[in-house]
Amino acid sequence: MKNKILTKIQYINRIHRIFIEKTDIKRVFRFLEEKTFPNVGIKRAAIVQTEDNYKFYYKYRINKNILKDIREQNYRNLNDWINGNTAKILHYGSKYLFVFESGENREWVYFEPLHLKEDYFGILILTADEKDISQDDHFIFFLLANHIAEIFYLDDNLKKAASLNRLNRKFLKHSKTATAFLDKNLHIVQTNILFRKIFKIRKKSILDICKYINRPLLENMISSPDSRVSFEFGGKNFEGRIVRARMKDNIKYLLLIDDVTEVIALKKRIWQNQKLRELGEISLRIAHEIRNPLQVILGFIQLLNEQEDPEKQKEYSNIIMNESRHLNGLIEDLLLYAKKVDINFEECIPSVIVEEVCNSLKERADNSNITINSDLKRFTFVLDIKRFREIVTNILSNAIEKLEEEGRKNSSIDIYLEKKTGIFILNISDNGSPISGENIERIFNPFFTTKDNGHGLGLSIVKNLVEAMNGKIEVKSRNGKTSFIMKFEKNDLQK
Amino acid sequence: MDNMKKIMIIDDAGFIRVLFREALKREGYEVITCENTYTAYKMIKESEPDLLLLDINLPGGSGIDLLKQLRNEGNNISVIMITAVSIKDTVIEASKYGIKSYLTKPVDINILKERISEALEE
Repeated sequence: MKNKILTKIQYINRIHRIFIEKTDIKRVFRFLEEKTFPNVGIKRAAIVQTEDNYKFYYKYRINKNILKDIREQNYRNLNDWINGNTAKILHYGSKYLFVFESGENREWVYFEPLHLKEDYFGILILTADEKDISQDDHFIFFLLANHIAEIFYLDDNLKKAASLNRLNRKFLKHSKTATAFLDKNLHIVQTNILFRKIFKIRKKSILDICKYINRPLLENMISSPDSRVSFEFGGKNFEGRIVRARMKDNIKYLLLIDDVTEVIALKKRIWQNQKLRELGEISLRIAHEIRNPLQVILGFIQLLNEQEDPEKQKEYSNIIMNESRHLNGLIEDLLLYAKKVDINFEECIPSVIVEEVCNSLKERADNSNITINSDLKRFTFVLDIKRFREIVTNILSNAIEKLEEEGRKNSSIDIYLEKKTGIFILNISDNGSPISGENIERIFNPFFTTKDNGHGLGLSIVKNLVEAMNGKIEVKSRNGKTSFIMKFEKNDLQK
Repeated sequence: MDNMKKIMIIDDAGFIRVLFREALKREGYEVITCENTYTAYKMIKESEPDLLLLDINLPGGSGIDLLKQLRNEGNNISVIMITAVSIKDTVIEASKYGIKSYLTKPVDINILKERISEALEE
């Protein structure tokens, strides 16, 4: 007896394995038809759909008699038929095996309810009308029915998964976005070809994405799924997003990366063209700005040749040198002005940067008896640290230079830094002579300068820098105070 | 000293004024300078120079506008334009108002001296 059971269980295990391996219901049923259980022959198995239509799966039809019986008896559905015809109920664990006798030809119908699927009612296993079916055999049927149910369920889902997979795969293959599926540990589960191309991944193996993109950057992406995070890799520029996606088993994140190198290059070219056009428009001014120093240089060289007085010679030489330097400085400023500002946003504490700039200019201010007062609130903000430092340095040195020249007593510069919702404000004011209304309008124009030696590009460059960081700058001059007010808005990367 | 001619330089760039003053003083001219059109107009009336060395890009208004105004008032003072602007249209425009010469910076000092003496001989 024991051996019999063992054999049967082994058999069941084998079938189970085959079911899992084959995952093709048709083949399973074919297999079932071909093989028989000792003492029991399985004629057919059918998966019965609920509702009123007895749709049978895989052309396996329920015995005509049973069907006839159902119709004649006017059973609305199989459920009723089962309930009305139960001859015997066998219990096995928490499941039931129904045994029916129906019609003239007795057929033993084993019905295994399918609890896994809503659409499907159960599995019918029809056997030969063999009455001395042992309990073991019943048990085996029970197991079998279960397996078939599971396989069927699996098969169905796999089909869906397969078609979804096929769709996914097609999409991934042709997508211009490099895609990677990551698990909860940020390991790569699956990628598309483009992704492997970008990061030069050859083998399809589980890889730690942190090897290619650093962790803080990834965490930034995870915490702000609506924004794109920029980064560089292999000399190219990318924008990445991470979205949460619970797909099969272990996939938790979807990493989407777009190559924006070309876009950035294009934008840069457009910007430069714009700037060039603007430069073209002010080319008259440029001619003026460059030709004047040239005239001075060439003229004084001519005079130098005819000059005998050493004092005068020295004077002329100095003028020539200064104008040459001035000219060179102008050309540098022009290039700076025309160049597209590269911005690298980082989290920083603006007050720290302002303090650093003040310290670096403190000695110069002290030498000219200029007091610098500051009221700086401490907070974090996302800025380009280098550019922000340039802006503060430029405005502050301008103020110091102006007060130095004017040489008044009680010269002072006030610096305010405060944060409001969504923006922060930096105000640098001096108590020197006011700027006339006419000049205030032109102060940020290129080549506008009130200094003897100025190029007039400093403030235009500052304005470009401020605007590149989503900021605005304006100047006010009233009540004995001239103020440069800069407002910076929060950008996408702010949390 | 009687025949010392007075030349007025109108240019906004400081060192240009210094250069021309140095160059012309050596030639024995009296030189006065001015840096914008506001003060130029007044200075011309008060000092009555014999010749103007006039730039175009000036604070307060274009040098050509100043020239136009002078001509409209019947002032026929000799004018040499010295400017960075070398556009043909501007040259033609300036010529309408009667100028002795139109020179583009950077101008050779010797040529400048020549043009000035030519202009003053007439």
